[in-house]
Amino acid sequence: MSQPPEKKQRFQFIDQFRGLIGVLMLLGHSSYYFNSIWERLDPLDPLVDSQAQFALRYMGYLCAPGFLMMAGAMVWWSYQQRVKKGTPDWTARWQLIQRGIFLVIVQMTWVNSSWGGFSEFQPWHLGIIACIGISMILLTLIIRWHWLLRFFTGLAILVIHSFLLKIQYDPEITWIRVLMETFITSGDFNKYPVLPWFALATLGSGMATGWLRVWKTDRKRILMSLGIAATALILAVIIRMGRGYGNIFPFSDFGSFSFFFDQKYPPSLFMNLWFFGLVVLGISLFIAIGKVAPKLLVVFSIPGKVPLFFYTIHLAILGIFVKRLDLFYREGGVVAALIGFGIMLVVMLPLCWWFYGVKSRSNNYFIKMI
Amino acid sequence: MAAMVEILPTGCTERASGPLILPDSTIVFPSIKADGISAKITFSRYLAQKSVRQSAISTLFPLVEDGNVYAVIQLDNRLNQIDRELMFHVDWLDPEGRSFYLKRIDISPGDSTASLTSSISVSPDKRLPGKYMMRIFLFRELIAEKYFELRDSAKVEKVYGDIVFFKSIEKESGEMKGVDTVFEIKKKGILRAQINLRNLHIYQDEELPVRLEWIEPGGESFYSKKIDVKPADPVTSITGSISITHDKRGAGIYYLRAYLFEELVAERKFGLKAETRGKHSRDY
Repeated sequence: MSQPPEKKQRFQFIDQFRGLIGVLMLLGHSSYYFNSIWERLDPLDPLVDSQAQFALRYMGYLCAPGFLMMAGAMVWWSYQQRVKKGTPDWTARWQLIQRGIFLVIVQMTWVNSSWGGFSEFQPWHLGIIACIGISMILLTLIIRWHWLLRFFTGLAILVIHSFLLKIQYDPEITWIRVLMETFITSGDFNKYPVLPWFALATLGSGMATGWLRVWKTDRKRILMSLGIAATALILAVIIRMGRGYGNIFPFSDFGSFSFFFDQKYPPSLFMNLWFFGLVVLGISLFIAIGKVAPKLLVVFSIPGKVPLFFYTIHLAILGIFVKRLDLFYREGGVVAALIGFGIMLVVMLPLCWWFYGVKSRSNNYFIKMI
Repeated sequence: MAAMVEILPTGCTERASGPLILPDSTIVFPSIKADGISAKITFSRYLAQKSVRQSAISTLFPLVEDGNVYAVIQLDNRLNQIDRELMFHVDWLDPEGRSFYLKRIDISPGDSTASLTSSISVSPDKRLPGKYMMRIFLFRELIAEKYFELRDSAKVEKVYGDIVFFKSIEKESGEMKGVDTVFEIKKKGILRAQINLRNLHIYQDEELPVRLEWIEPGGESFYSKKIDVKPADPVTSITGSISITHDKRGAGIYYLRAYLFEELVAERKFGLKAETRGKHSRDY
């Protein structure tokens, strides 16, 4: 008699935190489509004209580090689960590499075109999804390393990346620009260079070893996460206050807008450590809230279980209806962005719930990939 | 989420939430610190690069070929922070609110620079008529902004003037005597001119530099005089005079031209002829 299929083990706090990141990303994208500040906001050199605009923009800064760290955590966990079920080492890796390649293809086809509501096909551009895909592929190559080695490899890459940013190159030479923007710096071809974000994914995989295997109780997970988060945040502040190595933009005073607004494209060492700390802090908070008031976080579980679906569909809806059909495109301010965000949540949460059901029942290769 | 957006950053800003509007229409977001840097923006058509002196100060500019609008940002309390690096951004916005020119200006510690400058072209092939804005950011926070308007050149009021030539002035009444456009060259002759300039009030300069050029029949200037005038009155009159003696002038057609910022704002010709008796002059 055959055994019933083992139910996939899920860690609620990972799904929920990933859901929070997805929701924050929706907030950022709603701002991008409804908020007129984007007529003048250069994401590589952001200027804000009010506290609310600062908050709206800065909340989105958590998304990329959060996604990369959660992706790293899930790569490690998926690999462990596959191997545990008897999948050969390189078959398990190949499955994850396929997913990485799938993400790069999704970026170049669906995501790039969806920004403009599919009015034109623009494959020659990378972005956050491709960056996650490439980082996943690279991470599979070191996924069997001891967690400490992975952790310190991630840190070492972040430290070295700050030096690599000083490389001078001629952006007029296409292949050099593509190479630099793919891995080190940011520009029109790619705002998310792989090296620093791969480092965060690697750190996420290291943290996953603690969250999902080594630390057996929630109390232990919370305490260890708080300790690591505090260390990272203190280190980040020390680097920022040093105003030299690890910084890209200057700032006025501790705690000011400019203190927090160091460069995101590409991220400085300060930004990487700061957001690594905030993500780890967020995870520990989600574990704690999950213990005392689990219902508070249920809403985040829905998009968190199907993050790629959530990302690709909300972007397509905004692209088609707001940009292409010009429905309130960049006509408002913060309030318009929040209203758009609310409406999109109402649309997206049922869609995600439905698709999670489809995905759970389906054996289709592509459905499983999404 | 909405509450978070409002509450989260209140401790981060260095600027008061309510703006102040200065008499010159600069909208200022004051620092919450008593010694914090604040800025005042002044637009002009001309800027002397070395002295950073502006001319033709206004908030309304014509779209003209090769024309520019210059902005000078005066920084108050700048020297209180001379020992630190400062990062400014100057952002020019079009009538749709889109940024079309963003300039970052870093000031190094020890640099005593107390004003920033930036300029844009207002050539008709680059800009459309409408209400534009310039914003100045310090460490990514908006500290001041100011509107200005670009109009088709034909729709912008211009400074213009008329010129009256005369021989002398009645001391008691101030009345001009011998008003004419043709004058006889005499042993002790003096030709006077009154230039009445209108619309100087379109500029907000404290003083406007008017230059009078007296042009001889060959087309060369033989006498130039610069007069600074105050633009407050609707009509501003200035006077000039030249000697019209035999040893200095010959007969012929002359011109007097008045320039403001190198732009011709008034011109009139006059004639000089050899001294004759009993003949009336001919008006040019």
